[in-house]
Amino acid sequence: MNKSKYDKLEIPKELSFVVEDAIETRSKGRKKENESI
Amino acid sequence: MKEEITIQDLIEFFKSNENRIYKFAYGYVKDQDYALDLVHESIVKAIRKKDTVKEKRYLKTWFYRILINECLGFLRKKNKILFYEDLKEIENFNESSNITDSYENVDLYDAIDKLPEKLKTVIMLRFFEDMTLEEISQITKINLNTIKSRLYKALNVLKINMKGDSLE
Repeated sequence: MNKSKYDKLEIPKELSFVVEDAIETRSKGRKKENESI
Repeated sequence: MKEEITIQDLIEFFKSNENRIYKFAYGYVKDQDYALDLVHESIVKAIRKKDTVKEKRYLKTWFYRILINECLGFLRKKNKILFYEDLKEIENFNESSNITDSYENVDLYDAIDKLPEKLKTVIMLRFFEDMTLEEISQITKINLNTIKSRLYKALNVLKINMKGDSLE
């Protein structure tokens, strides 16, 4: 099976930041929810 | 006894699989910014819904279900996909397809763009994510025999000869 394009697909530099931000976004939200209780 | 998922489990999963997750999303939208947005949204949604994972061993299939739903939802909004509700339409598609017969000349990543979404998802999970048909069945919540049928159909459309690659 020829998957060369998939294997070589460029990973954007921002990906790690995006993943971190998504994790942070949600954890900040949880903190806020807890604070408001 | 079931093992509950913690936030730390999710974070480890996301970080160790971020490249795969991105590539998978990109496979649907073929746009870097949209793919990054979908990765972001899927992770936020997964963390929010983490209590819905039954067991740790289902984490991967559970997350890919969220990711696929996000991608398909995005594409539906963008009106970029056509839905094929029965095999007859897919067969018609097959006949009108002009994909090359030459297996060697086909890059699967390009070829799958020509597939209806139902078939594309099965191919992406099977060959890019190396998932078993049982896992694909769990993710899509579709009967295993239907998954097998779709895989055969997709390979037929793509004119790819499995040459002994077992579907089991």
